Amino acid sequence: MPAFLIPPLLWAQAETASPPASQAAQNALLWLYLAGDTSVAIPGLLGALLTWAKIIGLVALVGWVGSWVVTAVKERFVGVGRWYDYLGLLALALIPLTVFVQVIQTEGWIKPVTIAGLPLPSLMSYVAVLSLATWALVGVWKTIGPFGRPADKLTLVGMALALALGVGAGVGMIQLGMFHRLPDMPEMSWRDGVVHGTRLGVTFMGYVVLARVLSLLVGELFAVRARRLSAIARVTLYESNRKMWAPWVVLIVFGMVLAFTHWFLQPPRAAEMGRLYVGTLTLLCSLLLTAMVTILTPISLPTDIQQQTIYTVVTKPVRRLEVVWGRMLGYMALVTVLVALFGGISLTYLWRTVMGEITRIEALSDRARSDGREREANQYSEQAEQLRSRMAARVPVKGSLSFLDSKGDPHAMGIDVGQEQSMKEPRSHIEGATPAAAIWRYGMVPDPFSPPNRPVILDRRIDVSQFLPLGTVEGEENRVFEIQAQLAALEREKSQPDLTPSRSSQLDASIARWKGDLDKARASFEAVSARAAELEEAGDEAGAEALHAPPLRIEMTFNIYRTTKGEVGKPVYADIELTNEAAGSKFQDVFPVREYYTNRLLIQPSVLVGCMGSLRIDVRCMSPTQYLGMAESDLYLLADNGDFGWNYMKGLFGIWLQAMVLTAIGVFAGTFLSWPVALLTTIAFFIAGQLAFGFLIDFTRQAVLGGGPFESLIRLVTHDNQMSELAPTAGVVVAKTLDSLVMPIMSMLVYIVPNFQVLDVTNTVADGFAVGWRHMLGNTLLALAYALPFSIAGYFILKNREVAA
Amino acid sequence: MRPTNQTKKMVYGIVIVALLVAMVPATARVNRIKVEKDLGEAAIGQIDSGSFMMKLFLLGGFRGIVANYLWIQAEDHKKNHDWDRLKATVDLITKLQPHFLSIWTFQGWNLAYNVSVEWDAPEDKYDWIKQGIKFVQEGVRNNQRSPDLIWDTAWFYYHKLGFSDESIILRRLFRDDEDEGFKTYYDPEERRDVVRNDNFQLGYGWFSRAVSLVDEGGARVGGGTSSDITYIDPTPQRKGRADDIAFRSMPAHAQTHYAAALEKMSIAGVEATFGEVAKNEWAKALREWIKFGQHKFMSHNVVLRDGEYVKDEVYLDDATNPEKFKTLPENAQYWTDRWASQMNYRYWKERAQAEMTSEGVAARQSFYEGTKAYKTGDFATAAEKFREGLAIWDENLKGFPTYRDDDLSRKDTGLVVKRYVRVLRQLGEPVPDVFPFKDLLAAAEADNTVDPFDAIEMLGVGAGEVSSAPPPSQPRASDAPATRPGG
Repeated sequence: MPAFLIPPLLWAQAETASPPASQAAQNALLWLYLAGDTSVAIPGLLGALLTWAKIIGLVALVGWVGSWVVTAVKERFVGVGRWYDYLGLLALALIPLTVFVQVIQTEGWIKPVTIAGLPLPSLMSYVAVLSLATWALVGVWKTIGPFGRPADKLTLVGMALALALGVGAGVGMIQLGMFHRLPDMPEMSWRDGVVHGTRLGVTFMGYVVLARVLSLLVGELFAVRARRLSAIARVTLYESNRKMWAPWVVLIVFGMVLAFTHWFLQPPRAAEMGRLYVGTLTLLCSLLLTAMVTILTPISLPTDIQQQTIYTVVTKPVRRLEVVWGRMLGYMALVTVLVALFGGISLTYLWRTVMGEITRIEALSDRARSDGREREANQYSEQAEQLRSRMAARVPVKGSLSFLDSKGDPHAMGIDVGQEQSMKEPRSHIEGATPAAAIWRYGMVPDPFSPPNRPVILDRRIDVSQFLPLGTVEGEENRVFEIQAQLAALEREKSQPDLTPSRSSQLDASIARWKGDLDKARASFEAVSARAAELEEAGDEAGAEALHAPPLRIEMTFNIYRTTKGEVGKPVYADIELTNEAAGSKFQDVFPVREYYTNRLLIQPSVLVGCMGSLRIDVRCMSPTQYLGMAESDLYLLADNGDFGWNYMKGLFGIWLQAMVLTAIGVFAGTFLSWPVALLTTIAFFIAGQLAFGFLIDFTRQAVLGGGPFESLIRLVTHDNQMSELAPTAGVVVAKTLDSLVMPIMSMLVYIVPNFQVLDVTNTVADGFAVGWRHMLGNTLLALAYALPFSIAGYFILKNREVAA
Repeated sequence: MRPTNQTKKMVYGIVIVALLVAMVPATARVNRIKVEKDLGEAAIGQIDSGSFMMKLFLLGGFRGIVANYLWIQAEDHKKNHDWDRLKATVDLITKLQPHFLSIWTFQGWNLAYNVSVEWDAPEDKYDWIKQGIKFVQEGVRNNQRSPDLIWDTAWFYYHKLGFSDESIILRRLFRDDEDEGFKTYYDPEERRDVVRNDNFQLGYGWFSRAVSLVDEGGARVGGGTSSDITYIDPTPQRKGRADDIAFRSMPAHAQTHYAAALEKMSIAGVEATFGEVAKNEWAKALREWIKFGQHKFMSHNVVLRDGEYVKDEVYLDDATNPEKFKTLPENAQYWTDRWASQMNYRYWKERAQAEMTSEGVAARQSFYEGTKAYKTGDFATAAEKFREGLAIWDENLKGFPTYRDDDLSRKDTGLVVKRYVRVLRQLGEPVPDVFPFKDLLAAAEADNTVDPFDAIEMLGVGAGEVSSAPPPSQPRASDAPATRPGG
């Protein structure tokens, strides 16, 4: 049923309502679909939360049913040879058999078989699922009677209702024809509706169980006391400090590595020294902290249990949740102290080495200049300048980039010169000495990639007050312009013919108010500019400059693609033109492009006056036969240079978040595994999330070449490449069957393994750009979304475990 | 009886001591092999502690995996144009595999050629070429017995700095470079380290070092342990095999290019040099060519002589000595002639002989001064200098027919003839019916190429440094606010 995976089509369908159904019913079904289908995700925070709830719900469902079934087996309610146990066995045998039949069908060993209109594998899988569900249901039913509370029984009822709701929704969607008129969609029967509805139902069952779990948790949450939490945190801190010497080991290793950095890191080109050193230092912090957490957290609980010291804790009135969270708090306190220490030490180190390097390079530049070696002198001062700009937290204001081709026709992308490059934000090129241009637009601008007849509008307005602060000549002048624009808008509205009298009088009042403001703004603009002119006449340059807004800074990084060598040693020139369409002012300049360097331009701030947040920047290549390459991030207005130290600490906060997630996993693993296994589990999670997350995503999308693990093994052994079709021998069929069994389970990992990479923002810091607060908040939410469920799962396991029986 | 704690400790202690003692002969043996295979860190008078620590403590058996991972990462950095991270990664690999020659060769080339070409400004290109050269030099320090890496170093100095499109500027940057260590080589004639300002001299020094290392028997065939391993497809030593004729000619080539570069503005903004200095350098070039010509090569085939299959000795210099050439057996004659032609030995030797004379240098000086006058519009001086130079040059080349008839030489001289005629026309003077080298005029008129390694041709007289002023932009209706000085 591939159409279920295409939500945009579904949305489109939803807009054109089918006659028999009311709009409300359609909407309700649509929401049920979005809330129930795990394969669709809507963008934005709400979508993220919904996906999160779906996954957590399903995990809770599996956990809840699993725990009851385990109890049932332990209490010998099932697995004793009754009729339903044979159903369980049947399911166990049928699942691999179904996959096998499916594989041999696709490999062409047997012809597709259809029984009563149903393909054989589907029929087998329905039987298997039904038998397994029946067996599990009997187990849960029999156990919940004597052992369960009324709430559990209620949950069971709720689950039944949820399933019914899901099936109802599925059938309803078919009946109302919500998939009916999709192009290329085969005729759907009520059976498809039931199958799809069951999938929705399972997710809804997950919500029901999630509600039950939350109800169990609420009481525990209210019972948590800060006093006990801090006591356990303190004990954890002492333990890691005294028993493992963990912070000291980590600190000493850090110091050792720092003292001998030159062994591991050759002094690179001066321009990139800061970036390399920042990258290396943050990597070191990250490695040490995560290694420490990975080793400490999973060991602590199992050791306590093994050495029976846990008795002294659990016999006290301490909640189990406090045991888990207290431990996490303790470790995070340790990590916090270490992050602060690492941050301080590495900042001092960076300051000393990088600033020292800048001084050294500048001295070299001066000497070269006095010796008349102009080229070298320029090279040195350029390198020092680059290094300086990286040791900042630049806040870029980015526009939306579109292109004109060599004939002057607009395009979303420029020319692809076929250069191998990073595909994160590939650069495209404009041809020199032609009408080709790269245009960065600010303001409310259409997304160049959206279709022209249905443009998506992007908000790329410049916050002008950032560049032209009030109290300066330009700032005040801009204010006058803004008020004038406001007045003009009001006047326009007032001249509308069908204006109600009340609105008209409202408008009159506002116009009068704004006019007053305009007079005031004009007066203050005149006062400031008169004062500035006075100071300038009096020769007080600095005083006059203080009354003007700081120059507008534009930074650019272009790459050059030469089709001919051109004149030896002569750079490629670019032409830049700023157009403030609202106020009609312009600025134009020509500059030599330095490839891989940040080219800077300082511009009189007055070009922004009255721009109302929109601006257009055109860049052209002037040298004939040469090409200039750019991506959207390659040109920006620099709003602020920021403080590097603070930004560096924000980078370390990302590492702190990684450590938090890892702590949760470590403690979680420690609640039910012996320490060596818990340790390995935590390491596995870290490696999968840090190094192999991209691979996991490919795996889930089935985008891995060469098949699953077993098929790959065959390819490895037989030296077959990833692309060739394997002959359907018995071995290959068995391997593919095993893969089909294993791959869906492994695909689930992508939902459970935390994406550690995305929490790491140190690259941004190393590149000298500020890490935004929104970005940090998003990352914090993400980290919590991983850490909380792991810690709570740990709590439930610890609660049900007989640690001190 | 169960052993007590005390006994246990004693037993452990004894075992530890015994193991340590047993390690002594093993260590001695390993050290001996290390020295034999040129793998010892201490053998080179310094221990790279970082590399050692990393290999021993941090990685152990994971070294191969980590090295593999770093190689992949290096290629990724290259793909993403993250050149500085590429360099850092490559440095790390060399810490892990300092005796793996391919990393030095491959990545040194990568830096000096592939990375430098990606940068637009000559200063940046120079930076990366320097990084590449220093990188292979580090390889030489780690593998003292490998002629390959020494040869690579020489080649980068000689070819990448000397034959790039931007050579005239790169050579200027090299000349201005304050890093003396980078400009030092061991001079075989002076028998000491010298600092020189011309990359061709550095090339000469390093090529000579590679050749003398081969003469001393230095060889690193593949990796250090390859003699214990039977390869199906063994890596041959690339440079300095016994029959590698081109390898042995390189010191002479580098010296010749140095001498030739002296006599033109081959470094942007630096005047040419003539007189005794130039003569000496050409004389040195001749010595190098003769040294090369007198090296004994063995013929590739064997001939039956006195009942034995023997190879003939071949000396390339015999090709320029008709008396001796006649006395050689036919097989030796064949190989002498073949290899001398292959190396263009006669031309190079005669060129050095012709250029090293006082007349040769004087003619070159006249040509240089004439060209400068020509380019600055001083046609009277130019005509005078060209006339004078061509006369001396004609006289000088009479003894060197091979050089005179060589295409490169004809092209060189032809350019002067072409300019001489143009100058005469400008001055309104008649072109003489007969003057030296007039036969070259027709070909020269048809040839519009310029010498890319001459700053006068490429940038003009006095424009030693390229002007960095932007080109005039098209006039535009603009009410732009005035620019503040950008930066």
